Amino acid sequence: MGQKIVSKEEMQLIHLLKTPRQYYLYSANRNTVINISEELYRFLDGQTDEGLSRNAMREVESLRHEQFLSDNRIRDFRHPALNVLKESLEHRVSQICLQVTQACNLTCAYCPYANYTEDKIQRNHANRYMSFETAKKALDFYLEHSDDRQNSAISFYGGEPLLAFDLIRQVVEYVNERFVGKDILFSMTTNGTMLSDEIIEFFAEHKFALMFSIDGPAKIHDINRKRIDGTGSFSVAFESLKKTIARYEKIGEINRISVNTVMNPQNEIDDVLTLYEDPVFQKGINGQIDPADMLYLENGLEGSETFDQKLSYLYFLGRLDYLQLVREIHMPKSFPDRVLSQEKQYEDLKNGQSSLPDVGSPGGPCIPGVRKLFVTVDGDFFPCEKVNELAEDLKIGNIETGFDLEKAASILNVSAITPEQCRDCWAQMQCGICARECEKDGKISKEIKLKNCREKRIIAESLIYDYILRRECQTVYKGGAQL
Amino acid sequence: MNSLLYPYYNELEAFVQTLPFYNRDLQITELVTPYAWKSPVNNIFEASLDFDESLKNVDGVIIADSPRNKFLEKDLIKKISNALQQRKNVFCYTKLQPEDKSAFINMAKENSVSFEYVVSDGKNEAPDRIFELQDCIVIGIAGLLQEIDSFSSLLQLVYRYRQLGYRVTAVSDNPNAALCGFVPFPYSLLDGNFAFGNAIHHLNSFYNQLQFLYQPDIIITQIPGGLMKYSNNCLEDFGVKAFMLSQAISIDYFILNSPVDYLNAHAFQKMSDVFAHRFNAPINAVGIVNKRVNTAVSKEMSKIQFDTLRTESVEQYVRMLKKEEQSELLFFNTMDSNAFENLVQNSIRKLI
Repeated sequence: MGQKIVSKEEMQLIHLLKTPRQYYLYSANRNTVINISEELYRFLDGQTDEGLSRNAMREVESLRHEQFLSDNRIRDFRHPALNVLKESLEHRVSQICLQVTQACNLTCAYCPYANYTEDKIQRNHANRYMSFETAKKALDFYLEHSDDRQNSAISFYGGEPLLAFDLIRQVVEYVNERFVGKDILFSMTTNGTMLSDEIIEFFAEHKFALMFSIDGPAKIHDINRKRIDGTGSFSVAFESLKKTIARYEKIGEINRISVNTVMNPQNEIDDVLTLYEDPVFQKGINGQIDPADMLYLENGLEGSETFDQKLSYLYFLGRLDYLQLVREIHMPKSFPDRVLSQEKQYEDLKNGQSSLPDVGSPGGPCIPGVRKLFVTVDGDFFPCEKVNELAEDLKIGNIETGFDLEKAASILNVSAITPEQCRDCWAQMQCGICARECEKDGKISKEIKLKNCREKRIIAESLIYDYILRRECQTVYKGGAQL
Repeated sequence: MNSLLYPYYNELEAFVQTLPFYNRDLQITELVTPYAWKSPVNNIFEASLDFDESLKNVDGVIIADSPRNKFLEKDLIKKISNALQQRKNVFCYTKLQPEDKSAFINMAKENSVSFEYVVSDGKNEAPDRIFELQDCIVIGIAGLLQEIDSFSSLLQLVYRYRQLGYRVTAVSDNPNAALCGFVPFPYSLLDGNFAFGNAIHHLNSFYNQLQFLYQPDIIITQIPGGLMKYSNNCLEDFGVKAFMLSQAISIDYFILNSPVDYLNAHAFQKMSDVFAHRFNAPINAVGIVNKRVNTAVSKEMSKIQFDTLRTESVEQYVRMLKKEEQSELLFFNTMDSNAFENLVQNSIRKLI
């Protein structure tokens, strides 16, 4: 068996991959993939009991020599950014997100804040608003803690932020006066139901980046995005989108408008995507299409059998389109764009590394509070708006006492709670786990974290396969194919 | 004339320190920085946040250039108007819209003060195409990456050479350099109007004309742009301008300014070997500036982003570089003005 020629420790840090024409080995130690022979692949995969030929033995030795096979391990599970966490939080906070209200005029099917369940796993919509005093304190704190950044990004979050438009207006005035000399960007996601002409004018004047939540054509949108009285919100939201586009076109800022489509797995993807056939999408606005986040939905959302398959197929088509391998595929730009955003991750795989570092920590790239500082209506700090606001372990401070460095460090260093498992995991260099996914009952939990491992390895494998496809398109499939 | 400098920022420290040497007509007595530009590190100079209050104490206002002035457009207009209305002379080194410039000229007339707009139009005539090597010594100062400051080092060097009695002509790509009487870098020769080879000929002629005109012992020139591509996402203009300049002139002493934590001494030595081929100029000295590349943010934004560091971190890194053996390079902290004494002595030993 393979283990006699290749040790158990070496086997733990590799992952085998196969495409219709090639065989590959991914090495965590080198964080890249390499072609291997079919014979070696079958041997390492345990598909054969026979020994290896001389050539394959040489291949093993070569892989060992080049550190693709290695029993090297991270010795100290400590996130490298811990060394700069304090100074980063003091000087380099990139973005502030103000929760201006917890109220919303819609009750969406998949909204974690609209799922009023017995078991409290996330806050609920509530008639609570941020005061201007709190907003001012939060903004002053942000300015003080971003003096090493030229940009200031201020976003507004809810509920539906437009329920607090007066506060938004006050904040914008304050920022424009206080943040002179910074490259200021305001942004907001809205359900689009409350935009008057006056509000659109205000957003255009201050060049807000606006994201409209539109979940599909009327028949889909209105199932998911309902008012409290049960009526749908599509017609008013889409009308507002069109008016805003028209206004932004006049000032040449149409690229600041985008549409976010949350896909409820209970809906038909094909129906959802008909939204993007509307002429407004020919004007160059960006669309983002993602499945609903079900982390805080107690009962989840049972999807149709074909949902995941169709979604994967669309991503695949997006890849083909991006690579210009197959031409004239009609699909929303979001899918090829998704591939574009992955290109940066491919760069890491392409470059690889000489070996695993002595000190390191698998996990997502976000330094809590630095990439984004989410401030609730009460002035509490969280790493972003996607975390459970009821979780004490994820609360990283507040406007009165400042950052809680200890909590920020434990969120950043989340992998340190499972060093034994991470140390031997082949996907450790590709792991994007976030503390948000490891929390239960307000605490960061080892057990919950480990439950995510399987999914994280699937994501890692999928990314590596994407990278391989990318490579094969330049070699095996060079020249493309006509439909 | 007692003057106020606005907007003041970290990189102008050497400028404020050395300006009395370069320009005896203007004395900077007040420094004002925008509230949102408060420095993340300690500065030698304390800057005020209150423009109006500081304005009361001066006769003139210097409006300095900065890469961030584009975020201050309305603010600058307000402050220049205010200064002129308060009958203060204004010396503007940053680009304004033509209509604003005209309005300020009129406003200055009405208030019987001067408004000097000292911004190069960037247009250089194409000189003769005779390629010849310059006779005088040329010292080149480059930032490894585009936004790494080398202007401060230029100011410190020119000041020290002149104190030693050398005739120095300085070429700078920083708009504030006009206040020190430096020659602006001839960007228009590289802006695509000329074929690649012709542009190199023109650059060569430009430097030869400086030599003819000023008869300097030394030309010290900033080398514009980054020196090479950083990554596939951060292209740094591919280092093309630096390459073209290096082909146009012969650099006798090459000072490279680099961020912290970039390489070890051995790697800098290797880089010197590469530069000897690429630019026909090996590295002689490496100045460490108080910046560090934030690799995660740079990757995400496809643009190099720097973190600003305290001087202790720079000192620590420089000490580490100096300790490493097998390096002939001179390492120094660009924030330490005394380090430039050593640098000048080192270059004199090698060149003169």
